[in-house]
Amino acid sequence: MPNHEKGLVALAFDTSTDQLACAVATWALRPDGNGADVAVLASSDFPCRRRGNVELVPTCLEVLGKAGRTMEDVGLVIVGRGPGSFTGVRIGIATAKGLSCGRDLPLYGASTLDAVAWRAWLGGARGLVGVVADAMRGEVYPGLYQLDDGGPTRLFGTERVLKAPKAVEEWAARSDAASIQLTGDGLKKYQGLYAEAGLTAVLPADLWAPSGESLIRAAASPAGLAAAGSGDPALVLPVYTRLSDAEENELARLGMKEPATVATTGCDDVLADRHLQLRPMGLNDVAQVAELDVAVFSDSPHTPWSAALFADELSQSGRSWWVAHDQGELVGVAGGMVVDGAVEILDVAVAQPRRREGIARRLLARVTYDAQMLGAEKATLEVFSENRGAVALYEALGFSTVAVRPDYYGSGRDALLMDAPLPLAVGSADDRPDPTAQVRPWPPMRPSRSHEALQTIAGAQPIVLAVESSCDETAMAVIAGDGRILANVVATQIDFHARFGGVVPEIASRKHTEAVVGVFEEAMAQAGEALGTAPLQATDLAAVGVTQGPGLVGALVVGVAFSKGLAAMAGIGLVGVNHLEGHLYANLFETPDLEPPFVASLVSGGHTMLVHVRDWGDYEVLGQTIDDAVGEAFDKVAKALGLGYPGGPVISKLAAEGDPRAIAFPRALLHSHDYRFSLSGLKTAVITYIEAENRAGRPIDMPDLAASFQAAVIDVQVSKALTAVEACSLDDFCVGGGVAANPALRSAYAEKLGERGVRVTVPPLSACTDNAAMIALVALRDVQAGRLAELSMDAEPNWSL
Amino acid sequence: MSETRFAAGATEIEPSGARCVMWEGDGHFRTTGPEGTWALGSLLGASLEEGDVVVLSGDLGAGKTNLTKGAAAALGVTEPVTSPTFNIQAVHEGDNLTLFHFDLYRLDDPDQLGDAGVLDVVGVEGASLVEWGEDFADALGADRLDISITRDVSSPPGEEPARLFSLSPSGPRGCALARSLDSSVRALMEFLDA
Repeated sequence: MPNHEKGLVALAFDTSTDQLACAVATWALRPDGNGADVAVLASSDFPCRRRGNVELVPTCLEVLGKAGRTMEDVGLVIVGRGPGSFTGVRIGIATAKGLSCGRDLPLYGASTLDAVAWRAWLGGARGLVGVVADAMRGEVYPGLYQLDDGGPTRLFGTERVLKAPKAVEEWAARSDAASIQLTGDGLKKYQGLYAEAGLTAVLPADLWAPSGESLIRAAASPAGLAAAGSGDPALVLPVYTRLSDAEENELARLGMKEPATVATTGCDDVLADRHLQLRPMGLNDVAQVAELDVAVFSDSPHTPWSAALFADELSQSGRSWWVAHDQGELVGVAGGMVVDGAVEILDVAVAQPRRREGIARRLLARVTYDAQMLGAEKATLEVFSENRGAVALYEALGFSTVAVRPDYYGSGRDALLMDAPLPLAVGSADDRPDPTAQVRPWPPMRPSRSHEALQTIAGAQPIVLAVESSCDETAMAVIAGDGRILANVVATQIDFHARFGGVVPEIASRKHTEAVVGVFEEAMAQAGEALGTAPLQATDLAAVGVTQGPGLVGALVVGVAFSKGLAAMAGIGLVGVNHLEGHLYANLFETPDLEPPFVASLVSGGHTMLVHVRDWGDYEVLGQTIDDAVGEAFDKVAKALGLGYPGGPVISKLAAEGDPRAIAFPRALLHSHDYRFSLSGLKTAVITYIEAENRAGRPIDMPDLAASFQAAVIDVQVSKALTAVEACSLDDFCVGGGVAANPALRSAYAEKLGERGVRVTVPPLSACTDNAAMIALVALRDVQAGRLAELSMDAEPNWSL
Repeated sequence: MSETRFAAGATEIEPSGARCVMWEGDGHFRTTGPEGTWALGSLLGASLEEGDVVVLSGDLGAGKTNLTKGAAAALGVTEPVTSPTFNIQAVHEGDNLTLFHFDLYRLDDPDQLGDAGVLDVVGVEGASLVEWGEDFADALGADRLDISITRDVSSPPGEEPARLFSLSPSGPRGCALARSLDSSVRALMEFLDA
């Protein structure tokens, strides 16, 4: 915990509800460490539906101004972690993480439910208070508190979500039901429901939302401070109380009888040459898992689990079981059970030949992540004391021995009881950061810099950080004033989406929120290394440029909110970058002397368009798809063939072995005499073909099918590109977007356009998919031109070129 | 015929567009050409209120997005409106009402509505126009207006066929919205006749 007994200025805010709550206060840790004394200097609380991202940072500055302070005076940031609107909570937390990273400030999280209880207390309420926060979809987050003169005390453990009628029923069944004074924004919808059950005592409506002051008081209370965290901004995460719907539904399905799928046969992984994947355990896995358990624990005092026991686990609630598989073979399993705010690790087993690959660590990370989302705050386990390897692994993950059970595994064979706070200290598997919150030393060490180091940094100005979070990659890059890319970091979430057959927006938003601090630190460390100095600090930057759109709104807001917080605290510029323009600029990595005018094709999972680049910043979209994007068509066809997600790499690999003329698929709009594309008909034709062959009992020649489908896509792309280049009388052509990584498309462009004397630029493979280096190029241009954005900037999910 | 224009919320319908809209009995309209569909959309937009949910169904190119463009104009939205196929959700701030434009083309299971953020909005705030929502209509709430758009097969060959709009309202707001759209279209007819 940072040393702040002397007193400092705390900035606190909450955007979990329709109310934006913000306050600035002095904060002095009590000498006994039991809570802090606070005095509010200024605050602002106002209704702010959906405009949290626009209003939050300007409001912070305004409240600081009213308090006679500036960002530089702030010594502590406090944020409401919810529960509440998922996007609202993430806006608050991402902004808070940005503010914290701006000057290495401690960040504390506080429960929004506690803040509402404190609001009631500040409003004079005493006795039993029931907070009912709206969880949407007919659900509420209930929390019962006892308010005495010292403040509210929780009468529950961790936050949870309940169907409104169930929540009403629980409190109505209490003998003291009539004395519960209700508050919280859930009453807007459910006050009547509570009244019908006899709960009619309701606090005034102006107390239903948290206020800036109530949030600070919640964080400063002894219980609040104990739960506030270490100050490490990476570890402050939203309180969700549930997994995403996709994961919840998957868990429900896993316990049911389900036909074998490609996920269990592994044929897609073999084709795509994907090794070592993780996924939740399903009923189809239990036989293999039980075999593995027997093999692993044959020489140990631990009794292996039977298939029936594993199957039974799948039908229980509050469980999380994950398996690791490699091309169809099961190589590891781990599982846990959530009880009373802790997850008990029930089993960890990794096949002998696959030890020391970090598989157990990765499995435990997944199990404990699920548990944390379900409300667990620590993990517990028991291990045979002589199992040195396991004990060492657990200690590395942050577990410590809390008790010894002598002779637990038989005479002289002790069990160690260990526990660890969540998240576990899982670290990163390789040089790419995991899209998860990372435990590491905090605050960062900042050795004093030499004169040379300072001069090097000054000479590289303007140094710009670029942030990209428009889809399923959390990426950051650092660029120097001369255009050198000093750092380029991508944390890909593909593992978390693949088993759902596509990007799940809610999971993407969650992973960005978890990864953003780790990716930032990695980028700043890389940039420092490139300059031969210690890791850069936010205050070394001239500006931060962030992808403002187009993209998934929930994903974009995380990057935008973080960047605004960072810019505001570090006192640096802010730039909003169009993601599509970034893809155009990525061509400069291949052809540095590329100059407009030229024609560019943008082809990705979300876009398919031809653009006339008249000048940098002056674009005419010649035409685009009227239905599916090319990348989407690859994914859908792959899905129809049972090849998994993403479809592009598998299809292109198969196509390389097939005959592109084997099956005549339609070339939609080939002769439409415009630049519109349509992929929907092709997708339907492929699926119809597959169904017809299946009905006829003929085996499908997968390579021929893939090659024929791919050829139909490429023919239209190349033909229209050729027409566009000729119509615009240009001799430069560029490509951008994830599908530009397709080797057949790349070579078709090079060949067909090359024949006409057109220079074809295709970005390096790593710059085709989403990355922040391309965003950095655009951001640097805007910084050098003085085109900066306001701190009220919001995401623009539909931004066109 | 009057050359003045017909007011539809924050916008006005040109007489040329108004002539492309026909009332064919309660809950049934016909439009010829994109300007007619746009005009009908603007009448819909002028009737929308907070919490309204409209589910648009129809083949590719039937005019769902065009109808939404008209509705957006009537609400005072000035930015371009396109189908948010990849992003699923687009938000447009109108003068007095927020318009949420959804395109559920990429979803294939009602289970996905929550994670895509659809359920956090539809019927909760603003007015929602949902394209490709017919497979998920029940999950979008009981109080809504479904509009089905079809091509008129009796149109002369070689011509872009007229579009037929059929309303199926459910719940109090859905029914009120259908009635309001009916009377607006009839008022437009009378305006043209005057």
